Amino acid sequence: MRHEILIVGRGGQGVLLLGRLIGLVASKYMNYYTSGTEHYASETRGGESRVDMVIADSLEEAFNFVSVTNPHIMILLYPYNLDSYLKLAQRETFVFLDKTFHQGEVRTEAKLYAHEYTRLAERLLNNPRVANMLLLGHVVKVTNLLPLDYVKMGIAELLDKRYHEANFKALEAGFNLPA
Amino acid sequence: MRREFLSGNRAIAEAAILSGLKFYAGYPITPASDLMEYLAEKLPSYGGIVVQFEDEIASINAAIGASWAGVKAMTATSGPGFSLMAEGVSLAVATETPVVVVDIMRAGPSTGIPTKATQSDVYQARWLAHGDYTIPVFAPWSVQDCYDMTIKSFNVAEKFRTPVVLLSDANIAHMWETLYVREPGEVEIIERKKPSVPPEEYRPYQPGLDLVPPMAVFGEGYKVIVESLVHDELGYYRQDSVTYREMIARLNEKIRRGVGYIYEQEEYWVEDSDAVVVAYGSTARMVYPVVKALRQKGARVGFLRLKTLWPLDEERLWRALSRAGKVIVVENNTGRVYLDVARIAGSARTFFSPVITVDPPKFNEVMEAVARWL
Repeated sequence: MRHEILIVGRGGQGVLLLGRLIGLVASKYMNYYTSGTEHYASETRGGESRVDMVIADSLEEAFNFVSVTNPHIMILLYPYNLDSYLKLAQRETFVFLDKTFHQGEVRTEAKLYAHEYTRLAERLLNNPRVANMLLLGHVVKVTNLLPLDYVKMGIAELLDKRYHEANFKALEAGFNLPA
Repeated sequence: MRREFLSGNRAIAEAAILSGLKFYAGYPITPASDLMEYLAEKLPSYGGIVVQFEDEIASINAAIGASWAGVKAMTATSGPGFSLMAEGVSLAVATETPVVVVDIMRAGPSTGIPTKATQSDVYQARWLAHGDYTIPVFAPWSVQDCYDMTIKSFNVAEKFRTPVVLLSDANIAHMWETLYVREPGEVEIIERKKPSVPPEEYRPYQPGLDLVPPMAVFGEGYKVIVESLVHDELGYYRQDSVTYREMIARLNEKIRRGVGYIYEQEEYWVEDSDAVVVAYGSTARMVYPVVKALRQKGARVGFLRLKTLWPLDEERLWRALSRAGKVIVVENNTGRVYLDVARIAGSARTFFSPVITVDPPKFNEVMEAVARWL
């Protein structure tokens, strides 16, 4: 098994955190071999951030090609270079797009899940900052990539205690969206 | 041993702590800053300290001072900061001070592109400073390798009383991977040799059979002389050719004699290959799948990864390369390690095929660079 995951967004949306969380859960709790390469601009906020992730059964499979060329899952928190990223998507790719920042039509043959994740986080949880976790909850529900409980364990390990509750709630809210 | 998911820089920090690091001195610079930030959080709970100095000159000298106070010391930087450390590295060579210098390469010259990786500083790692010397340089290609080679860097620094350069780059530094973190006792940790004679008989720079002098440090009752001038076994300044020759010969020879311990290479399908591709660091990371793909198509091509850039075990490298008709060196620079490989490869025809890019090298780019010479 070799899954490639592409995560794209703006600086500040928690793109790198999503990558580290998925990598931690896959490596530590599920015994997969994982690699993630981070690309980000020098701005703290606003520039494009991207994580290319590979999750595999064996070291050999994870070690090859650390860049994403054939994504199993695409998480697009912001529509940077949307058309060019969508070109990577195959028919069987799961594409999650935050519609809050993209009003236009999305043309793709992939399995598209487009919701206003940030607006939902604002409305349901009064906190747009946890949109990344809300989206991840939806990814977990739709793709069965990682067990929800393990993701919570990962959040507990990575984040300061005072942020646990807000992120757990966001994760669950995303998990409760229709698959 | 436990599994973690860490970046290359954090892996270096974790391995340094396991190796017994107690003093880290540094000045922030992309792409090495997060190494210091991570250590600043963690090292104090292991009884060590992290100090941010006013610049890299102060940092390397503070690390040297800490080593002479008896603790394991490290600093980390990138090209521009490493340039400032030149004189300090030379001081560490002359005074035979164990110290680990991590250089996370970025694109140069000058400020270059701070956030992007190249392999343009491999000669800086080798010959940064003035003087006639050899210092070990290691080049990891993965997060696990960062971890393992850091432990090795500390061991080599202590065993041979020398500065050691761990040469990573921005790609490896900020790559996150599954990592096996070792527990204390699971891996050999070497401590520097101490004097076995009473203080009145101690000669500070008198070597043992391994050409390395036992190292007394401040506060242990021994006379300690940290001498940067050319010195004899007592540590006294001498201006004659005999003393100079002896000192320079020993500084180089102790490393050369240790090459069996210091030098590592990894061979993949080299035995039955007509052509061997040589690479190291983050470039090697893409050469490996390219060579594998070529073999799947039936090409008799092998891959040799240099884990140690200097000193090279020339005989071992020659044995691996001379069997092949062709040797192709792929580097992300205009040809540095190639010069040594071409000299050592013997009768094999050697080709240099650069992949010069500030982004992680792409499969097709590397494939083209290799296939061109097959």
